[in-house]
Amino acid sequence: MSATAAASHPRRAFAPAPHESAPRPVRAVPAAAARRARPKLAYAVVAVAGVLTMVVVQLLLSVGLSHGAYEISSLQRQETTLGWQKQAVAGELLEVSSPQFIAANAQALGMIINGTPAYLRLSDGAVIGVPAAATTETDIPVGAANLVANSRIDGVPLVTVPGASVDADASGTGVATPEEPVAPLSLDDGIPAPQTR
Amino acid sequence: MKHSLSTRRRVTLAVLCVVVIVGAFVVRLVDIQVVRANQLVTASLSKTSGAGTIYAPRGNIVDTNGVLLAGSVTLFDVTISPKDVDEISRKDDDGNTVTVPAEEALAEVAAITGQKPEDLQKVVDDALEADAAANFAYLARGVDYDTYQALTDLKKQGTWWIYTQQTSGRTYPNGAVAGGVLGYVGSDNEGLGGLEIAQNDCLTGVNGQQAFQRSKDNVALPGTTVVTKEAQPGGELKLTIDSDLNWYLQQLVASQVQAQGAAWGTVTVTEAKTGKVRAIAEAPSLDPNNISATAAEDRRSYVFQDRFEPGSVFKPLTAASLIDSGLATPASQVVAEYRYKPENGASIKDALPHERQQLTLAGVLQTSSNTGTSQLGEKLSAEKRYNYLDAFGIGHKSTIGFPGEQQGVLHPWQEWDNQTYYTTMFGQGVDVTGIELAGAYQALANMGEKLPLQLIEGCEYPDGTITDVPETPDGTRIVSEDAARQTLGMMETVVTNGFLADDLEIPGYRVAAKSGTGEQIIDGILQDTFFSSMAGAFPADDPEYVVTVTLKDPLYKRSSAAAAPVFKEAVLQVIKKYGIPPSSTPGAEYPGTY
Repeated sequence: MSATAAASHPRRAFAPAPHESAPRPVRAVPAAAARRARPKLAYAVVAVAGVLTMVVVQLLLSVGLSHGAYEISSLQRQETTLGWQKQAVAGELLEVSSPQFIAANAQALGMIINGTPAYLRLSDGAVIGVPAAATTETDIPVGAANLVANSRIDGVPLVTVPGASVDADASGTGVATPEEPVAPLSLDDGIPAPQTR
Repeated sequence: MKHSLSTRRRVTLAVLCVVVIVGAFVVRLVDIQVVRANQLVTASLSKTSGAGTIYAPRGNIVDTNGVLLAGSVTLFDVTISPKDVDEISRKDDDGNTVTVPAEEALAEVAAITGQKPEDLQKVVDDALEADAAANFAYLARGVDYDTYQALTDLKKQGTWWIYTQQTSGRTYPNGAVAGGVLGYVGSDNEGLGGLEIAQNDCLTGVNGQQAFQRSKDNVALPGTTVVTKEAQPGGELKLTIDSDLNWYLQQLVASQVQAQGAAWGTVTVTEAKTGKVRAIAEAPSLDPNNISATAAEDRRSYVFQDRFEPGSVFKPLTAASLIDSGLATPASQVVAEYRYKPENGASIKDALPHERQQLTLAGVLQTSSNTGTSQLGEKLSAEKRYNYLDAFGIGHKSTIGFPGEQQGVLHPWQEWDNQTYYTTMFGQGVDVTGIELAGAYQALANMGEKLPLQLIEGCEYPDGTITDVPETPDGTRIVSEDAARQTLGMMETVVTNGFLADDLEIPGYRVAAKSGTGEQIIDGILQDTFFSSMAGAFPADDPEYVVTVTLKDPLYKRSSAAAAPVFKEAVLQVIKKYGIPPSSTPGAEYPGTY
């Protein structure tokens, strides 16, 4: 309906009572009604679009959230695995830090223990104690490093000598099996008395 | 009117129906929500939720410097579902699907776990024989992370009927260092020997619990895990032991045990002024990582769990008792023959025949004269001598409370026969443990004041609380400071002028020591091997450390001569370890003869 047609129509209807027409202000009512109809549609579109958006956002959010939960879970699993890995590596580090491993490496290089303590005083360069060279001619020949057993480092390659590795102690008891006595004990002269007291 | 009646009936009927239906629902609702609520909730929870254990690791054992001696690690048990063991299919490198026979698949598992394929097959067969529908059997227990990783990879390739589960294990990175003292744990990770069992309360953690919602296939739903009970990890046990020193002394005594063909040997190092035990070195020693490799009789600590007749290392105790009682001085004179036959009918002789010697008390110690000790010692009554030895801790165990600790045997003086009356002066007819001997020498070295020996510094829990800290002990005076000082002086002349001087003397250092060659009588038969020992303290003018050495049954040097070089090397190592400067004071001078 056009605005002109709507405006002319009341004039035709109220023509037989002209006395009534004078005090009333003229208003373009149908035109206003038409103006109101357009926003109603927009509201509906906005509302529906809003609802749709909400649904979509809600969907995306929940997908995102549950995805995040799975990601957290997978990261947690990764953390656990990395923890185990770290523990395994730290354990290996501790094992190669053991005195047996260090001693085995040192012995493989031909190093021996110097038992003689002596000190050099830095303030005046004085030698304190009686220094002496290290020698293998000691009262107790220091045995192989595997005398004090450590099954954790059995077979671990030495770092000082390529190709060599830590030998396991055959007996595994911390003391290698003693060799046969060089001079078998003889009781011909009676029970041996201690040589000293 | 009829029409309206029918309407009213219909309405009534409808209302009734509604009431009945609502009533039925209410009844059902009450039944579900109130009457059977617990039951239903439990049933539903059991279907939708799971619970898991949070493992509380067993506490570490560390040495005095914090070096890890025993620690807990995560290990894995490998299990299998025997009824499902069958051929598997997997994609090969070219993307073709290949079928791997069950046997071959099992062999792949065996190659990773380091077992024999037939052993694994046997596990499967045995399980199926016991129960044809068996879905669980252990293949290997306590495998490490690398094995776990390899098995996980294998599983991804189709071997779906093997499973892994997390478990806890124990590792000893330093192997047999102080192994006999540390002890070991069983497969359940509970202490079975040594400190592992003595300190089980400190070390054991309390496992926690967690709950989660699970899916139909029993997988925890992400984000639903709730810790219902926190795990409480075990405490960290700190020892007074120094692991580096302990290792060297173990290496040393093991070398000598090997060289001398001895049964076993020990070295202990104790701080004279605190009673803290810094090293307990034993050979053979237990490697707690591999218990089965150690003979059953070697799975212990000799220092705590063996006793022996000590022999002449007892003489300084007798000498200190005599001086403390005012009955002798280092210059007290005695004529020592090879044999001494006191009036009570006993018969005492020295280790080797010798001419008549005119000895002082210091000379008696230097030559380790049994007859001289007997003649001087008999001035002190048996009761008083017993009381001194008792106070030195002979026959009392240590205060450490080591599990299975032996106790020396010092019979009451009333039970001493005529021979024992004398032999107790020089360490025969009396049994001690290695730790008792170390304790007695600690008293001498601490100028006559005995302190309880300590092996444990404390147990620290993750929240910072520390328990089991030894109280600052009050010393017990056993002999006067003068008596101790004079005895130490005489022991110093043992090192400088005694028969083992060549083996013992360390240039620049004042060391006090005494040797012992204990006779051993087993089932009434005198053995042809001896118990060799050496005990002492240094620096002699103000002792810081007490060192004891024992060797059982050395075969080539059948006397204290076997222990003497070990003692010297041990002292040298302690000097180097703690940076002890050479003595600046002149050594004690007590003439041995007159």
